Amino acid sequence: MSLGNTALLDENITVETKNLLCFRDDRCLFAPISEEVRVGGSLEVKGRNGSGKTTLLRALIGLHRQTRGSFSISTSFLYQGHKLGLDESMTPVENLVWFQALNGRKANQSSAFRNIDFVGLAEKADTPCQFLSAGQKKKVSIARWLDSEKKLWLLDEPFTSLDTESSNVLVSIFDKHLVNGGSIVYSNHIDAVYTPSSEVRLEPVELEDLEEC
Amino acid sequence: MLVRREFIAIARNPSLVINPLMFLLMAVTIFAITLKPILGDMGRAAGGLIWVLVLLSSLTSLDSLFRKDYDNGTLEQLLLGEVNPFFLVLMKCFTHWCSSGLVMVIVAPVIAMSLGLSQDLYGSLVLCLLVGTPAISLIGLVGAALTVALGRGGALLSLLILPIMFPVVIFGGGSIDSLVMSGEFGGGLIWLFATSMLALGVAPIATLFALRLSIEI
Amino acid sequence: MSAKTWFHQWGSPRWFFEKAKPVSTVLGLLSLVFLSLGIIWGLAFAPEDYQQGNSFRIMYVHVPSALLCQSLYLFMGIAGFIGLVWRMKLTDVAISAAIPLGMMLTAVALITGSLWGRPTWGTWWEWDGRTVSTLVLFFLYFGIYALRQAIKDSSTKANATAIIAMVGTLNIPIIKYSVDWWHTLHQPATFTITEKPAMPSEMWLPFLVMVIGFYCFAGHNVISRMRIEILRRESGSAWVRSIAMSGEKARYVF
Repeated sequence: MSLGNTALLDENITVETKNLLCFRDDRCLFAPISEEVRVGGSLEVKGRNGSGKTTLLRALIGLHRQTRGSFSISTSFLYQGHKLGLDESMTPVENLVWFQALNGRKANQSSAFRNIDFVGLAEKADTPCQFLSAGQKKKVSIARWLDSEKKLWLLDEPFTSLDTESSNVLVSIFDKHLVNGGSIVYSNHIDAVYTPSSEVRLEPVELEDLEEC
Repeated sequence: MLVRREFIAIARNPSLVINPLMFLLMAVTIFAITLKPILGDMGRAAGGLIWVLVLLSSLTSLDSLFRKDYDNGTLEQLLLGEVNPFFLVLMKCFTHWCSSGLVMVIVAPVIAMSLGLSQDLYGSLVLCLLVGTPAISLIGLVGAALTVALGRGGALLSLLILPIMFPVVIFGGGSIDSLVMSGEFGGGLIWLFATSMLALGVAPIATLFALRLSIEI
Repeated sequence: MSAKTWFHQWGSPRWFFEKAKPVSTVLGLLSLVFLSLGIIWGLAFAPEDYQQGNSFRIMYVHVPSALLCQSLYLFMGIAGFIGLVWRMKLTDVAISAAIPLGMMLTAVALITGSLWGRPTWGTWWEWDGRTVSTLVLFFLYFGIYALRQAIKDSSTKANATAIIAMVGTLNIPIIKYSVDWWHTLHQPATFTITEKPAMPSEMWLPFLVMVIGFYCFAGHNVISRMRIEILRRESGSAWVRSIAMSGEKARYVF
């Protein structure tokens, strides 16, 4: 996996990019990004549809290789893409326990249930995910972030398909995570739901500009 | 829990096992209807027919091997997780083999009986299938991993992996044929085993590469 | 030149584009010489086969193309391996150039084999060991071709092709062996090349010339296609634009 060099990272910095560019079919998606995310900090990635928000996040975790420039990221992260990563035939609790196993932890059903309860899905905890609505599935994935014990969260459009009330819950979850020494990088195309400590807007780039840098 | 999840998926969605099995039975029926009047006694052809049918029916289940995991995003979580992805690929292969190859091995004597294969050969047939079907799952895994992100994978998957599976069917069908004629495997079983072992050495690495490619699209 | 800089040159499409031109020209001329010499010698001057008469002369096309289509697949497997390990773009250019030629030569081998089979075996098509392995080789080529058609992203296409080409290459000897094994199982005593009486040198010398000619032609064809493909892929870069602007396209490409 072509992850950045973690040795370069300061203890207080979880993500750092220097003139990072992402390419798709040899086309450069956005102007160079130089950002750093500190412990307790959050970064919102803004941009219109197709501006490369998802690609940037995936480049950071090594799932998009066509990049130029440099970046580093702390090794223990949680990634949540557009696809939620929930097995439809399993219940929310089973999904969380599966995720625990996937990250080398012992199965802990009570922790899984506690977090599902926290996002308000206690009564659906034993219903297979295929019977849940889009918003409810999103909540299951939020419960998984809480359950994950990971400090760095990379989230792709965390606020979509959530109603206002749930969005507010998510905002408080974000705040709590940052206070506890976590950090968050997330993409967003909706206006100001959450106030991040820093933000970056992805701008399209012309070929001519690129040849200079 | 990782292995359990695979079996939960099968238990809660039994069509994963039943569909290929029904396909197998229907194909047997078609062969019997078309070939019985011509061949009269189908015992001689039974071994080869069973191998062809096992191959074709595992194709029907291979396409969905990674498809669901890819669509719902669990595949990328699997590869980003802290468990060795090599182990995950072997686990996928094992569960696919259990739901497809092993089931075929179990029903093979019934099909062999319906096609009129000599009864003393049931044991050898099962042995051959046990040795050879893992190669089908392993090779299929590579093709399924390569085509999972391409949407219309089904037909392409068959085009890609059928030629690679030729030796399995040739050794498998040939062994049974050799048994019918001379009472010996004629070296086929050993070669079948060698093919499976080679597939075991190569396919998981190739699958891992292919899966990474597929989720990078 | 150090080994490292030598190695790095291969990562540069431009370097290859410029250096490969004389190689391609020389191979093209050589193939012209060898092929015309071989065809005239083989068809007009080599002696008749005492069993098959004149029909054996199709061998001068059939066998070289059958040899070459296997070599090209092996070439693709090796190129795929190099491309995966050292992340070289050039290897995918090479593979994309080899596929159509390989597929075509496999078809030529099958068709000429069928034409040869009619007078020798009395049938257009025989499920003989070599026929079956060549047919499977054709399927293998087609699988790669179909896969490349289905993938849009160029780097994914390159890596996916590399994987399947490597798996296929490892598989070719097994296919050959399995088909031979299957063949001996059913028809223990049939006509094979090894059992034939040794060919007189008047027969195999033109054959050798044809084989060399075919390989030179393949080298020329693959390199020329690679150069065209490089121009296509690098069409956005300054050096390709300057070639296009200079009005000397023909001279640069061919």
